[in-house]
Amino acid sequence: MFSDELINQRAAKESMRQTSQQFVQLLQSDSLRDPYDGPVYEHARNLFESDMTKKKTTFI
Amino acid sequence: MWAFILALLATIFAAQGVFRDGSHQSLQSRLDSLYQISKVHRSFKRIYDEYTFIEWTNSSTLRDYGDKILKNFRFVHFPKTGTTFAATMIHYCCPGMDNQYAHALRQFNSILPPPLLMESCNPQCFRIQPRSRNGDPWAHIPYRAGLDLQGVAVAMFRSPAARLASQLSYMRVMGPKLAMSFGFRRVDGLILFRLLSCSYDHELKSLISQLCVSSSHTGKAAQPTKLEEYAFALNASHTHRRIQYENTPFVKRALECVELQTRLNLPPALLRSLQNMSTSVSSSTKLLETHLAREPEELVKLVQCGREAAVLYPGLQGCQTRMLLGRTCFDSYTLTVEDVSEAKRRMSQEFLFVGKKSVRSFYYLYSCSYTDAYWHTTPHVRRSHRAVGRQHRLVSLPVRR
Repeated sequence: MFSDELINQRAAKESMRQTSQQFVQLLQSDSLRDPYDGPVYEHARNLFESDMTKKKTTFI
Repeated sequence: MWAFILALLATIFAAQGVFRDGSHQSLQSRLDSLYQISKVHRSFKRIYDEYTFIEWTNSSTLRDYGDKILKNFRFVHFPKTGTTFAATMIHYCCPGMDNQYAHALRQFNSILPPPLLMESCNPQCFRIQPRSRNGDPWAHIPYRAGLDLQGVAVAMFRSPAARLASQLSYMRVMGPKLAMSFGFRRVDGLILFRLLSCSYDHELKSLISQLCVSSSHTGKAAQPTKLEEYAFALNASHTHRRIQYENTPFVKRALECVELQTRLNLPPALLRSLQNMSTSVSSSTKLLETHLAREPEELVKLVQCGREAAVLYPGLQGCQTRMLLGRTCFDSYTLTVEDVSEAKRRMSQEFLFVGKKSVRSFYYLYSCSYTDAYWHTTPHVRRSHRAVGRQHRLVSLPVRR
């Protein structure tokens, strides 16, 4: 499945980058927003930021 | 009698020496062969990592930065949210381990660290990290409310769109077999791979019809039981999905793709090159370029069609929430608002570290030496970073005493 032709890394990189970007664009549309992981990720982000702030304050 | 005992002991010690040497050679040859076999694989993996993990860290290798605070941990690994973090965990537990071995342990994650390598690790560190049945400590084993409630659970989270985009790109590159490692059934993996690699033929149509037939005969949906030990120990209630596929936007869009390909009637060589684009770029580029010069819109439409259908595949959403609730990423269970609240509660009350984006925050919180050595804004460090052209965010974090 994987052959020496894969050595053309520049083309492979570009293809990979474009594919990922297209998927992200598609998934960010209103109809495809994740109703479960979206709020959970927001919560994780808040926890992370508050935790970092708390730790910084503690060590100061 | 004493002579016999002494001879026996001498034999045992000699045998131990042989086994130790033997296991070392065996490991070395095993690693070498794995590196050789996967030469091309790794080359593609490197490209993939560069474009998908760029947000996580600027370096895939970490050094030892001194004493560690945590004695052990339980890393909850959501798909596409932290293979790099696994490397952090290995270095965290095995200070001084050679990067080559640590990389191999992460990359070929079914390899069990042999006793010789484990000598450089803290034996307590991996104690509560569960393993899959093939010995993989980085498998996507869900958070188990009872067993994992020890206050040392750590996890990296990722935005849902970026996570799923990464998963779909990975599936496109690595093929249908790997798609199943995310918890998909064979039929799910085959359908998604065909859509992602522009293979909208009659076989795809037949697979979709199988999906619809099986879902219409499932009867009344029963909730699957929660997983206890291993993510991969699936029972019938997990493998038998109870999602209704008929008349869903996914089925409609996927069948449109089949029709579009039939209508366009593209030459078989061009279709093959489209399908192999992810694995053999150089051969497909010329043919595609020639065709793109003549008919640009229809090709773009064809490629886009499969991607649009793939993101509509039922059950792809809610992976991280499901795993926080003790279910697999692609579990057939339909989530509710209460489930989201419970997932948030577990995260707040039962997790030690909830990370996003960077492994540096983990080191900052749980390994003081990392902050001293890496974040410290000494002119020497600044110069070395500037010299390699990296864009490091230099902040003045207080040094812990």
